[in-house]
Amino acid sequence: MLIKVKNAIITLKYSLYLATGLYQLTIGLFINLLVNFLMGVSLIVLYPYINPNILMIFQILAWILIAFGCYTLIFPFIKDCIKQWKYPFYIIHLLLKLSMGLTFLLIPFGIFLGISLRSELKSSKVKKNYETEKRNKYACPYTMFTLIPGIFHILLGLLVSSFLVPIILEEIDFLFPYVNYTLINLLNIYGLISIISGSLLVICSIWTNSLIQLEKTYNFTRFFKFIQILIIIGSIGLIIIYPFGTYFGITLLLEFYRLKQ
Amino acid sequence: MRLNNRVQIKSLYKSLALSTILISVINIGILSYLGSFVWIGPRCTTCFFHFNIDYRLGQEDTEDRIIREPYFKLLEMYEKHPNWAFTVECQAEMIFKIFNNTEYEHIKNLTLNLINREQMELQCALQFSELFYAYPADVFELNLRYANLTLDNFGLLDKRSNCILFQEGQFAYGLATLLNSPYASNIDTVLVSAQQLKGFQNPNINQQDYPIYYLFNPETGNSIKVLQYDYLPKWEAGYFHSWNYLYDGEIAFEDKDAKEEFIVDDEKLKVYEQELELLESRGNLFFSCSEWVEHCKKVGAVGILNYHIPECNWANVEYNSSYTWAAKNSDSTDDGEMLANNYRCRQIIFATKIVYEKYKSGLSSENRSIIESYIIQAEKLWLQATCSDSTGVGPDPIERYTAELNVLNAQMFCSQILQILADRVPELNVTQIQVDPINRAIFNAKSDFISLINILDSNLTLIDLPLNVFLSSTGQDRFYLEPKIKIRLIRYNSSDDAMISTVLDLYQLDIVFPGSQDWQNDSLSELSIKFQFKNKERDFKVIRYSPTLLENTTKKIFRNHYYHDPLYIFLILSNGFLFIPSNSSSLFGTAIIKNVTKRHTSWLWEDNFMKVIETDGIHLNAHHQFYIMDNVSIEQALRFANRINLHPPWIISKNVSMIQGNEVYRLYEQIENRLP
Repeated sequence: MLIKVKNAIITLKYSLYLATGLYQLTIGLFINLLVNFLMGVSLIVLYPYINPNILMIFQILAWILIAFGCYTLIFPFIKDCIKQWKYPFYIIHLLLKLSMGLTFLLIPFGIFLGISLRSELKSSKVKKNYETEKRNKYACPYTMFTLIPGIFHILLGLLVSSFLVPIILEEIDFLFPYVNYTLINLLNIYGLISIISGSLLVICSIWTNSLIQLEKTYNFTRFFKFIQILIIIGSIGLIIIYPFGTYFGITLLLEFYRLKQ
Repeated sequence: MRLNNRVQIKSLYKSLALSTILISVINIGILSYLGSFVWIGPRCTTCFFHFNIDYRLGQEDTEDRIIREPYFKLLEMYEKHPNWAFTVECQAEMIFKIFNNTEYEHIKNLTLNLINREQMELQCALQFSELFYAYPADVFELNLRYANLTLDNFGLLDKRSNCILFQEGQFAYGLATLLNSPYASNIDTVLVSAQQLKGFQNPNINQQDYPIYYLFNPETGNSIKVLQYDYLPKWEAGYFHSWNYLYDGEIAFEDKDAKEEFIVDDEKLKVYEQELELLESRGNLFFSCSEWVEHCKKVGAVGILNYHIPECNWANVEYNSSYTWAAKNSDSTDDGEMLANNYRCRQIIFATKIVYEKYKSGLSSENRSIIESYIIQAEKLWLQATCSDSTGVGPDPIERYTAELNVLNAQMFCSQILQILADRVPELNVTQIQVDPINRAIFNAKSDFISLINILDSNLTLIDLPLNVFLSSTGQDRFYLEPKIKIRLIRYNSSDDAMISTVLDLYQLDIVFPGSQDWQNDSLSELSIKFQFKNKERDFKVIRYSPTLLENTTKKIFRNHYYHDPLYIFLILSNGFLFIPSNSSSLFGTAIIKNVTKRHTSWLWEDNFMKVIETDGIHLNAHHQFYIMDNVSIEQALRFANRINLHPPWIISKNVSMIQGNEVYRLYEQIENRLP
């Protein structure tokens, strides 16, 4: 059993099952917590938008997610036992695959941002590991993958700074002291970092190939250094904005130092 | 190349999987910690409904609808669920209306049934929902007394709750003393919002959060409990505790599509019932306020309130302490004038009562009974006029007009009392009499009328004042914006008060800002009178004032103990007394005393200035009168303030138009759009 668990963690396929299961469990628990918390609020003031029926629907959804999560977690270990059921197994497997796909859609954009940044770093790292021709091909598939989160983060930053903060500021009279100027300043910083990180990503995604070509032609080492610095700034911003993206931020920094060495 | 891509995709998936595991593990840890309070711990709810039949002051059909619709239907719903304890707060006048009207027999019976089976808790302290922080303690006490009588009359006095939420969430430090009055009988706990408690907390001190605090008045040695309520549920006193419905009961289930206000949307009420059923199915307990207080006391969830909260309302930041009720006019009221008119009515009624007390022994029992019923009617009309609905959050013209009319009718009752007395007591058969409430002296000859001040010099300018005074007003037409100013050096008649032995010279500052003379014309939008020290080393960071209901004492308060923004502190000053000590520990300093019977508005308190402002339209001429004393002792200044505002000699008459203060009704009649 222990070996199986170990294998599950280190094997890609099992890792995905484990990840999906845990993630579904988290979301299920979160919705459950939210529903239980909202039950205590005077819902009638939110009528008809939120009512006990809606809460119950969310509660059921939460339990389905929790059940699915648990099942996905243990699926790799019981797979062999239920494989003999054939038809039900086929349906269960299909449902699991579907839910895995849906789950990964729910993962915050921060993760993709982290991956994008990582790929950008890799594209610069390539200089030392691959030939220039291969490097171009390596960098290209990631352009869109970087550009979209970049635009998303610029929009998110603008949304926070230009809409959310003014709206909260307008309502501060009612929401104080829960909402105060410290929170508003933090939100502003959040918005700013998001805009800067997003802009860096957009720049990186559009310029990567050009930069590589430029460097190839004129040996612009400085440009590459500059891009690397931008990536580091972006990754630090990412760590600050998204606790979820911390893993990627740290990985990114570690890779950068490994690259330097 | 294909191999490379495959390696990259595999690496991408692995990254995704690992990050998801990491995120999920962190999240599950956080959620488990937060969820443990919600999922595992017991949960309870305190259901609270605030009712106010004066929601539309002066509209009797509205009163009727509030009783028949939201109040009755809510009680009917609760009757079906005996385990759901709940609290209803209302003015005693609402109880009077329900219990004194045969048409409401079934509503009365339902109320009694729920109270007797200890499911419904009745919170009721005042006869009328007075804006009590604007007036002195005796007004509050009178209001308490009438409520006592009403509840006692219907056998509810010993059943009322020991907790109370005052109208508009009013809070005053002096409640700790006044609620120890015999008229408050068992009331020992005041509900205060989390926003009030946290908003006025010294930002540099981190006080532990408790559901209940003890509030002490060291000035009198009295204390009360302060019960914190919040709109969001939280873990406190061993429960995941929530307050369910803290708002106005009248509009809780209102059908927005109905032609009339306060008609209940049955579907909405049903949804509310479902909400509570859902809670009950989760093992939720339902507490009344007093049960919650008892529980908190039992588990020791009680702290001590170690900072001063100035007079304020719920949503204290949105309403800026007392600003909304005593400085923010609207197109139908001038708050300062409304409050001053009510204040003047206090002097008239109290003066009339002094005259009656003095001569009642010579009256027949029949006349005494007539006069006493007139006094009751006058007092009740006047107390209703003091309710917070006549100023404050968007009062309708009818509410302003009703308050005006109530005061006028109260004055008429006073004049009728004096007529009855004059018919039987020859010495009272004069045009006007003056009553000195301090000595309870009555003067029937104009030559004997006392004056508190003697004018020494009436040709002064603003520069002659010991403080810088800046006046400003904004509006569409500058011609009308110039205020009329009169500054006089006066001497307080020291023989008036044995305690003030020295000669007390002071400045009298009168400023009259012209109004638009039309209730629907807000073109003269704002006025302000700002006081600042000439000596730049002096400021208003430390001041002394009389907390409302404790007009005979003073309290030192520090501006840096409160947030500056978004919290603007407006001090209502129920006796008009403001004292700025020479240094923070000195008992001598500068006093600015506002004559609140002229115009009763709040002061904006900032580090470097104090400012009287009125916004959102000036309609009647705004006459602000101040007395300024420099290098005066705090005791002298306080005695003078109380003499001017609380116990001034007052002229009354058997002819209502000759009563001091009645002259404003001639102005009221001239103003455009007076009638709603």
